[in-house]
Amino acid sequence: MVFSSAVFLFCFLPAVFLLYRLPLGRRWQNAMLAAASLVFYAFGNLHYVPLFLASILINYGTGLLLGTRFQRSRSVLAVNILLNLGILCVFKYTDFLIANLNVLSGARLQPVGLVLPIGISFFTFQGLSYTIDVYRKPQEYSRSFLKLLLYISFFPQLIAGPIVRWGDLSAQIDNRLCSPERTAAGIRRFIVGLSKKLLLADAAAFVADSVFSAGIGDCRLAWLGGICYTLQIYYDFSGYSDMAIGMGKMFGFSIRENFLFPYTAASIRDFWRKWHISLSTWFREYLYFPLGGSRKGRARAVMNRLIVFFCTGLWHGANWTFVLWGLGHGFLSSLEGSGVIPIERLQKSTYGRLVCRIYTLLSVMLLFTLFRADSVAQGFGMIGAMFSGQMLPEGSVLLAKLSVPASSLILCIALALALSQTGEKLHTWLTDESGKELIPDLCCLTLFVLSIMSLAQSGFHPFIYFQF
Amino acid sequence: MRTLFKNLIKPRYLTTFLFLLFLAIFFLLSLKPFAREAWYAFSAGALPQQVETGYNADLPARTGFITLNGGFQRLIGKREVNERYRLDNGQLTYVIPALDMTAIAENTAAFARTLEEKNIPFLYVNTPFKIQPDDKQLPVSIEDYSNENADAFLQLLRSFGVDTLDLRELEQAEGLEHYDLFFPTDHHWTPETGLWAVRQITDALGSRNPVLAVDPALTDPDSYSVAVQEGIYLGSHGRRVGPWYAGMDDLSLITPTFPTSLRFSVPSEGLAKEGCFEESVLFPEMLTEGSLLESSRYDVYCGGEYPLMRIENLSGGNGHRLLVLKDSFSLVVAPFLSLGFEIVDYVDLRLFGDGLLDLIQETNPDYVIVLYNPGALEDNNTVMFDFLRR
Repeated sequence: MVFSSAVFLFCFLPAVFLLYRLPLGRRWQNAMLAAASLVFYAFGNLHYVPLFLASILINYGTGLLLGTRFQRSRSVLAVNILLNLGILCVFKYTDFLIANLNVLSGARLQPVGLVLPIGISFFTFQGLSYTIDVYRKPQEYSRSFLKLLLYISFFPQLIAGPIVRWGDLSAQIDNRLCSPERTAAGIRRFIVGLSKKLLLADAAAFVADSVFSAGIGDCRLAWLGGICYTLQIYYDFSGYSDMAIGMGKMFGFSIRENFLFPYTAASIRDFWRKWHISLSTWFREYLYFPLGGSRKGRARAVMNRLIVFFCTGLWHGANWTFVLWGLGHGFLSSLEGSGVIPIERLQKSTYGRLVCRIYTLLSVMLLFTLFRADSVAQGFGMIGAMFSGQMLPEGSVLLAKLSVPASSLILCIALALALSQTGEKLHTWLTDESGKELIPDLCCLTLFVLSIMSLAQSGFHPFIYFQF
Repeated sequence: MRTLFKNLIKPRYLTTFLFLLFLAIFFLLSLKPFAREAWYAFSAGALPQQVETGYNADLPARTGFITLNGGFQRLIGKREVNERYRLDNGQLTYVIPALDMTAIAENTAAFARTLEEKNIPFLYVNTPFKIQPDDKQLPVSIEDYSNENADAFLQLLRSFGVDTLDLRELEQAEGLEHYDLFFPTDHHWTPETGLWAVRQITDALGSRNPVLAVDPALTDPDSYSVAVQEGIYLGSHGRRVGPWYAGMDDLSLITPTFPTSLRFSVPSEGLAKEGCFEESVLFPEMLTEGSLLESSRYDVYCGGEYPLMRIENLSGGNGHRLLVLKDSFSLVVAPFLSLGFEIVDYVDLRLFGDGLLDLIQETNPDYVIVLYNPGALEDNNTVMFDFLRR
């Protein structure tokens, strides 16, 4: 059950919203949201509900220990981290490890073929966020299992984030505001996210999928595929985050922004301040700083950054394409940090800023091409094709097929909105919390109608980040 | 809740109000289908995902959404929607990949040999497909191999010594406008084309065996009156993309102007109708039953698809009996073909199950005809060509 599915929009969301608004008090609202979140998870994968609950129980128990008898106990925390990461590794990386062991040792171990529990990377990291925060501030532990259950399972951000930190949500579970203004702002934000997904991301996905599956080494197609995937992943994931934040508002929660127009960034480091902010914040807080950050010399800082980006890549999936994508970002980020790529100097002039924008966008797009590829060979093949200048007859045929005027127009609009300040302004205008203007409200309504029309075409629109 | 809605009925909350209203309406409409799917899944021990699949197929106002979406896709000029393609002339089609015809050709030849042993002659009749071989009108890079498949299949049949009749050749010889033979929103041919096909088939049978000849007046279009029902038909392709994308088709009710007396029966349904052409083989209720956007008005002829449908000509026809193995194209063939013969049995192997040879043994037809459109060849070596199944 994804947010852009009919069963979510017409059955689940209205039912939960209705039950939530019953005047039965905060405890009812929290219990109902937690129960609804479990139902939501069960729709994704019923068999893994016990695993999901076990993971929450482990973190709840650890929180109790760290908050009471074993305050600041490193061993308790270490066991918890091992358990959390152990579950994640078993389900996500076992076959990857077996495949690599087979390659390295010549062994013929059979893959286990475990189905990946939906959202495991997200709920594992939220659980870790809770236990590490409690380790640091024992007084913040949760006595109530329901409260922790709601924190980890809250359905708007359960499957694909944003990764909410315990400190950000715990107070809101007890005390939050559900005003009409906030509900209205949440609905507008949800609609903007829905339309990003259904109108823009899916249009880009059609082209990207066609190009990547065709596997034609034509330079025009390679560029088109890379650009369209870069648009797809942004609109898909930021659309999902918008919907999560919007639904959070509808239920009175305030969830932090996860995207701040990342394609307007002028450096890779700037990009990571705007892209998947909740994940980069998590790694910064719970990995980069504990490793020493940049306080232990330049070489150590570079190493720490590479470790963080290696883990970021691996977090996205059990494939070397993700690891290389992460390391690529880490490498460029380190070059920027050490001044080899003189970002700060370049940004002092207009042309320099333009160069920075082009460098950042090109790097991000090339690395996303690798990220999207099924294998490292395919990824480098696509990147190689971009610079080969090769134009093949079968490439021309596919290009002609993909050159539908209306779809091309939609993609141009998507590109313009992603790259310019206009997109940022438009987003702010449409989702303005004060909601005093009628025109943005009507624009949202139009977007909603268009999205619903698009929804009818296909019953299922999976989000990219579900697989992570 | 009341306070919330009271506050929301203000101009600046227009979207919020309409969004919640929309969700509320669809929630109420969804209660029944969702509960039904949930009950089915629960009873069958199925996973929750199957509830979602079932619900999506039974989405409230689904046709309304499809219509809206089709209108939008038409507006932005898309040539492909829901695996249906818009031809240059605006008609809709699906496409068929290149397939190996060997197995089904061998099955058909084996069936013809079995009939030969029983002294029953056999004819394979190939209908035209929506896409014209030399004027495909498809969007760039979209390929269809229906005609190539049919060519390969007929060639194989001929090499096995099986008698064939390719209506595409006759269409070309008569210089017919190919795309006029079909409903624009459907893959089916029109009733007018059905009547034309009957003339070709009866001519072919008469030329092969003069005792089977049918009075030419019975297949002459001038012997029929045509009542055109304007804009009442949305074909199977059209139902997938909605009328705003596809448009609506006219449907002709073709009835003989000469006296007729027929008995139409479907043993599996216990259905039997007797009377003139209009009273026996036409089902005018099909023009009004159900939603215009969801029902097949094409079923006005013969009432739909059955495993076995028998039409007896109480006037006697030419005194001979046929067995026709059919697909849905025969719905507009059967009523007219039956006027020339004493009894015609129409068998749809997708529904019939086992025992075709027993039926042949029992009825001892004078001729067995397979009348399939090239789309049926997509069911490569499956039930439609499994003639000898017992």
